Amino acid sequence: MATVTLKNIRKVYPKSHNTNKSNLKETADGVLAVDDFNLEINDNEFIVLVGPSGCGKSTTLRMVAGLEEITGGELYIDDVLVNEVAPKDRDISMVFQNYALYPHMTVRQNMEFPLKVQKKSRDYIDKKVEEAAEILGITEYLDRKPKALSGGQKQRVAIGRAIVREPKVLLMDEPLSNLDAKLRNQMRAEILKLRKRINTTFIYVTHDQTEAMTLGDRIVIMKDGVVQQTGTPQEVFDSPHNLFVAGFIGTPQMNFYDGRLVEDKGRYHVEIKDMKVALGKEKTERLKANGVKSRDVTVGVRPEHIVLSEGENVLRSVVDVSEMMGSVVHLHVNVDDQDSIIIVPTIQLKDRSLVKSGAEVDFTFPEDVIHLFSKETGNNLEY
Amino acid sequence: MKKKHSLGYWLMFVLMTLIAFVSFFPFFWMFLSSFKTQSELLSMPPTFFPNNFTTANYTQVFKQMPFTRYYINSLLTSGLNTLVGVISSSLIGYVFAKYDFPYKNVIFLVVLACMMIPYETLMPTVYKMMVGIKWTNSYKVLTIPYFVNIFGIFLMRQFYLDLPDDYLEAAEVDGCSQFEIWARIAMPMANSTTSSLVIFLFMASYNSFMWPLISVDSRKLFTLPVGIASMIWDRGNQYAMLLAAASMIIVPVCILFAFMQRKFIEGMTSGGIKG
Amino acid sequence: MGVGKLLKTRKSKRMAFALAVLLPFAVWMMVYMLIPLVSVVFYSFTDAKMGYDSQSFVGLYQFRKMFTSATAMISIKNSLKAALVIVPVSLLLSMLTALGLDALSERSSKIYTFAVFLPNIISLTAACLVWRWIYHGQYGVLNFLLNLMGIPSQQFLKSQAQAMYSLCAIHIWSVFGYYAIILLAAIRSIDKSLYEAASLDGASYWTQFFHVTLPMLKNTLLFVGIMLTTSAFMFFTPVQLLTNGTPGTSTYVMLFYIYQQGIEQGNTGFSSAMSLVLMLIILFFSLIQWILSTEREPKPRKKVKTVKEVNVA
Repeated sequence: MATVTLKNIRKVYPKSHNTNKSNLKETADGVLAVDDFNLEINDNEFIVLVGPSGCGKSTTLRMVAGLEEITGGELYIDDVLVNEVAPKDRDISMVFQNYALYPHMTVRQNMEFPLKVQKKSRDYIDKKVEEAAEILGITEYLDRKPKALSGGQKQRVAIGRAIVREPKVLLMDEPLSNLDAKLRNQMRAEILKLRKRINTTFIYVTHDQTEAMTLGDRIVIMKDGVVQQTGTPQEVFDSPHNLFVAGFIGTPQMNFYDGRLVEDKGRYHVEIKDMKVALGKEKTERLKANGVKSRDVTVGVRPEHIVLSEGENVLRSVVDVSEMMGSVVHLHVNVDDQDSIIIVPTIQLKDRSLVKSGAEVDFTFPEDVIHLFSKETGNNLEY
Repeated sequence: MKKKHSLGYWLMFVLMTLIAFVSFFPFFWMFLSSFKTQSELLSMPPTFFPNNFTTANYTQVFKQMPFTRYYINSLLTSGLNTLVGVISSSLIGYVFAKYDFPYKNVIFLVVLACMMIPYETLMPTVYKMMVGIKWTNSYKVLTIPYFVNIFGIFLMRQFYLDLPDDYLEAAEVDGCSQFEIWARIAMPMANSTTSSLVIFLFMASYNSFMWPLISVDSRKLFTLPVGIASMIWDRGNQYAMLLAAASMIIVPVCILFAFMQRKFIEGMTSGGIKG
Repeated sequence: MGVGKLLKTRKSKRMAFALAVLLPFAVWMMVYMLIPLVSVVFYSFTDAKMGYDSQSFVGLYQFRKMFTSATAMISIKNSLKAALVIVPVSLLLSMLTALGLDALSERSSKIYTFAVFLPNIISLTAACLVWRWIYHGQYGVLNFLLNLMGIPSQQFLKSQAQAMYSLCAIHIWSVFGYYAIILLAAIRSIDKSLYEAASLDGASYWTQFFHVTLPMLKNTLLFVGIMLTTSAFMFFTPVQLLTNGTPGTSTYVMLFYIYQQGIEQGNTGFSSAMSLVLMLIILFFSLIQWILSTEREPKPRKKVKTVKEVNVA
């Protein structure tokens, strides 16, 4: 259990280091892999760093672990500055993507290894290993070598090795990405359970937004070395601060349309093609507070918030493909050469002909689910 | 290509048998002859199996020269050289593979270039230097030159280059010091490469002749190859006894090789095949 | 930041470990590699003697002495002769053995491998002792076999004409198995579909050998050739043990002469000059092989991926 504070953390790699990899910013010293990372992690909190590959999330985690040098800024664990402290003195443990189980040791030896290195007593070691094995349900494999284990079992052992020392902070670097989809769901649930049983601060890195949403108390979304937004899963889902977050969180992806925000005597409405949507009170207040004038905007709407509609004030589209998912149907539609996805609960889909390819579908959306992003910066105009 | 029972196949088989026979025959002949008396050896036509089976030649070896001493010297120096050589190769290869330091690549290239130098040509100058610091005729001169093996460094570096960093970082997070990461994780994971290297280094040291011949002239420090050489010069005509001595050097290695053929070949050829 | 604290950071710990490993290594490299290497070059221009600390610069004197010394020239000639015998014969023999081992069934191949590899493992010194007995002019088994075939007894090591070849035979005997195994590993790593394609085209065994096997083995053959050349010029043990350069000067080879001059006579300057020449000769022959093997490359009609040598296992 511990608090972790990252203050203006920066990481610069020397120029030679995989340069043409991404759109990372370059500085005089090299490539900026992580820039100005600020976060206060509370005691016992589960933080997920999420973002596409190369966004700096793993680098950040490795800086917390001490495996990567911190170029600038300050890192505190329990209010102690640890920038220069070696990994083994930080009281953290880490689960690696490919498990990193020592192949020449049995499961038991793997799990007791951190305690043995610390020269704990035999009794203590045995007790801790049994406990951890119990929690993870791997007691019966204790005497096997890692080679004889399945992916899911290996993952449990890796977690077991990380928790036996009761670290202040438990770091996990894409721990589930080597597992198949079904096992991944199962292990996700296991991690949630584990979390309830042990008192530790978690920092978890993943590229999978579903994992992030389901596991995290708070999520940190990163792109190109820069934090895009930090917040609870609900917050980042409901009020994405920019286009990237809006597009990254939620599946299927949010739909985007080119539109125009019109301010008229203290009231706002949005025009997309022929459709006009007047904005409600809350949004109007926030836009007003930010002094937003009439302008071109990118309008974002989640597929599940779109409603099929008839009449005049609608967007007209043609169905390309429809996917029957069971309880819902995903309609991939085309609005003037722009693709959108509409999720319609099966139960509401009275007119079956609508799901045929080539069918004409008209839709609209309520004003309170609209997100308005600046065309220039991509930032949400409300925040 | 491998049509069995064709004429070509049988020709190949006969030829191979001939080649294998020529390769093996000297050992076989040595072993058989070592149980014959000197007078039986010096008779024409030669007998195949010993007429009067005798082990006297073997006891003579120990009586006429400090053969046990040679044996112990050989085993001790080779053992120590192998132990230190394996550890140093592993450590240095590990550092070259997993650590960054200034001019690493240039330094490694220089080291590699040294592997190409036929070392025998340097021996007189090395010897002059050893004479200068009065190290000749000591165990030092039979061991320290063997403590580093550039080929071994190269071999171990290759292994560690392929070893994912995750294991080492996991060990580091688990609380290992830099040395412990190598000793408890990296080195044990290199097991199979290391055992090949053990065989390679041991054989190289056990069989080495020119350097011990140059650097040592006290009988007390002779290793087996030099001991054998001195026997040829001192008692060149006692063929029966010499063959018994040769048998005692060769037969243990033969037996080891027979039981660990794959490992031996891996070890001895690891340079040629992986380099 | 104090020194104590400085040593606690990860970077400094890693640096300290790397230094702790590399420093002793650097010292060893200095003493046993770099200094001797520089010394060889340096001494070859001086009149350095064993056991004396000082020497004076004599320019090219040692080289002039070497090229006017009959024994030195004979030793160069003998070394070249030995290399010219050892390299091609070993290469042919090991290639043949590799092909044979490849054609044999796995079980017999294992036994044959044991036999041909054995001479490489055991001490050459001990083996020389056996060969000395086999070569014995009067009671040697080799003469006995020759007599059986109706050939009169030969003198082998005692004959000016035969001694060198007899010693070369020992050398070849001791090394060819090693190279056979390396070639075998390379042969086994050749993509089998190449042979299948060639068989479908109706190619005979030898056509396949010259058009598939040999081209695919090019890199390995170059490696083996260079190794063999080096080992042929490092020919020493049999000479030292069995003939001591005799009869006459017929088995004086360069390394033996270097040993005599550098160690027994203590003429460090002269032996260094000779060592330098020997290294250059080896370099020269290695380069020739390298150039030959790269020039002979035909214009690639179909690009076949280069086969990386794999383990014998």
